[in-house]
Amino acid sequence: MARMALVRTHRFGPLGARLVMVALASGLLAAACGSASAIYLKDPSGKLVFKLPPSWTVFDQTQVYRDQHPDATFQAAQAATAGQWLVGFDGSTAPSIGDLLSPTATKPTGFSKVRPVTSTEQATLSTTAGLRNAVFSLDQEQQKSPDLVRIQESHLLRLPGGYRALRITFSIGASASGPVMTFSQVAAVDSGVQHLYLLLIGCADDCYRENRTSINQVLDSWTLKEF
Amino acid sequence: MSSNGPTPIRQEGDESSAPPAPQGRPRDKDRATRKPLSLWDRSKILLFLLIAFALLVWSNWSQYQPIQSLSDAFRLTLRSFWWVILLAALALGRQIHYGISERRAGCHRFWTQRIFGGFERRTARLDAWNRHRVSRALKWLFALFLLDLILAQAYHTPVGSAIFRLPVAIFKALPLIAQIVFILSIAVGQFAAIFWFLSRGGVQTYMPDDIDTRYEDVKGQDQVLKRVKENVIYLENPEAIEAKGGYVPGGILLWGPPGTGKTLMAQAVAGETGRPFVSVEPAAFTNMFFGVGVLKVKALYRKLRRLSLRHNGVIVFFDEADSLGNRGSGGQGGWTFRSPMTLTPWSPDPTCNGLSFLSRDTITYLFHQSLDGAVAKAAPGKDPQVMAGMMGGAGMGTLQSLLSEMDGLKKPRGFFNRIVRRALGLRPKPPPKYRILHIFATNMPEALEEAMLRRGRIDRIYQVGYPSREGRRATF
Repeated sequence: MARMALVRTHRFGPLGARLVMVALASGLLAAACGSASAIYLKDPSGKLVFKLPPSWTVFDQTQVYRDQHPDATFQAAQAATAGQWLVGFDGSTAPSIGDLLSPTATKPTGFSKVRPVTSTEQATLSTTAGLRNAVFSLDQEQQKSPDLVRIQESHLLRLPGGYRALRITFSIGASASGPVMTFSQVAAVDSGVQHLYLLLIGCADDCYRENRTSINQVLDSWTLKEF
Repeated sequence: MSSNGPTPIRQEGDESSAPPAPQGRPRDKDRATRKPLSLWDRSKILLFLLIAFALLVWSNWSQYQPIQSLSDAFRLTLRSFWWVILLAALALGRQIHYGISERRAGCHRFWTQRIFGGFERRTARLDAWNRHRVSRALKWLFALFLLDLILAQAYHTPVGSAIFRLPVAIFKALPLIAQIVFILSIAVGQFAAIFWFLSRGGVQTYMPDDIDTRYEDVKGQDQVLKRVKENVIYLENPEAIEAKGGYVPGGILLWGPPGTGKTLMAQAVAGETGRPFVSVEPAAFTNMFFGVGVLKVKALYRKLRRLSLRHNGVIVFFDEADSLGNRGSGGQGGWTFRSPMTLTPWSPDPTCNGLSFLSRDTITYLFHQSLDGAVAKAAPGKDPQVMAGMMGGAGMGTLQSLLSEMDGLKKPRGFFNRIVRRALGLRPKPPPKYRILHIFATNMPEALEEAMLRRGRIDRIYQVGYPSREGRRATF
């Protein structure tokens, strides 16, 4: 009897522990039921991270390259984009890689890129003007047609780790009567000007105003980490 | 109650106060329920998986700091590594099942006798070799599946196709592998080269017609020569002898005083036989480094097996075989063996049959007695001490290795036979019958290892006495 009693008192201990574990596992699974609140992206080195709204679509660099060069094979696209990192993204519910930076896009689109800086570019990109003209030759376009290019915001940032970044918002039009697009751009170089880190996001002027909040969230999340 | 009184009889009512009788641990098959597990055994796999998942969450979270929340890290990790949680759930389910089996005899019986018992009964119908092959095939498939899962994660390709990228990856990594192998081969090669060079020497191979000595050159040993010839003839067509139920001897010992023609007889065998003749020098197994003797024995027998297969037989001759040593006490040395006081099974005097009727302990005792006098004379005032055997001779495993090679395990040989055939699920072929005739010559047979003298290793022992008068006259 004493032995039986011993067995009985011992019986419910592990069962109780097991119930706790089941409850714990159920809790964890319940917490995991929802989807993530954002799409997280990072470059292969892990220095650049940023997040996009969860409904957006991401295109990898091979897809982007092949859209620009339809005749390129997969291997050729991989070879051409080797050494750099690029992602394109589209906020539309019907995403298309052809809509990237297109004036007809109704939702914000853009890309982020990390590439090595060549020795001939180092002098240019070490200046604020160089960072400003990293994607579009804004200064040149502004000189040619001052009405078509309008810089709305410009902030030079000193980031931890010695990075130098320029965050600008600008509007650009192809012609006086044509559509105007508004973009936000962050361009940064490391202290040795070895790598260029870029983010460009925008769409038509109306679209930009409608989606300013989500665009700013993307820009704010764009982070360069110091190692 | 006095201590001298009768032993009290235990009443039924006393049983409650009596200590329980010791009980043995029941066998698993005698248990009605499953044997309870300890808490650690119960939870270790689950714990391991949960810790692994927590580390993955932490890794994800730290990569996207400072923009990612912990809950997002958890969700994203769960999406990528859902199978870890699935495994944890399976482990949990397994433990719940065990827990029920530990408490419910019916459940335990159902699983052990109906489910697993039925499976065991079905698999028991297969023969052991087929069962082994099936289980090995399943293990390989499982390993390949696991590898595919890992590669799919590494290459970001769909499961099922990732493993086909492995050969390309291996091919690309060949230069690196070659570099590593090169560095390792330099490190290992130094030792291999040293031991390879050290394990050479001391063994000469004579092919037929290399030696001119013939049986007629051995004078005055007709009786022994006749017996030796018989043994060599057996080697000419051993299969025919064995087919008729005969036994082909594998070893001959020629023993007798020095200068009686033992080595000449072996040389004549080398000249007469149509088989290769391998002569092993007495100093071949005397080495400076541990293990070199063993390597020499292995190299010697590798050569003997090769020659035996190529020429359908081979003769190996160990001259001064006493140099091989002895595992017993004082086996090596010989400085007291030839004393008239030394009594051994080989001594013709004072008994007519040596001391072979005595036990080994008695022989050893007598042997030590005979040594005592010699040692006491050499070092008066000190305790007589006997040096152990195998000093300077074929010690350090060499003799054991030789014994094993002479009549050891008949194991399958060859890389293809042992590894490739087994990998393909085929049984390795049994080794061929190597026809190796060992001839040992010594003038100190008492120094030989007893295990070497048994049938199967040395089948014929011939005493080579002094040659006959006619023989001596013909020689000189």
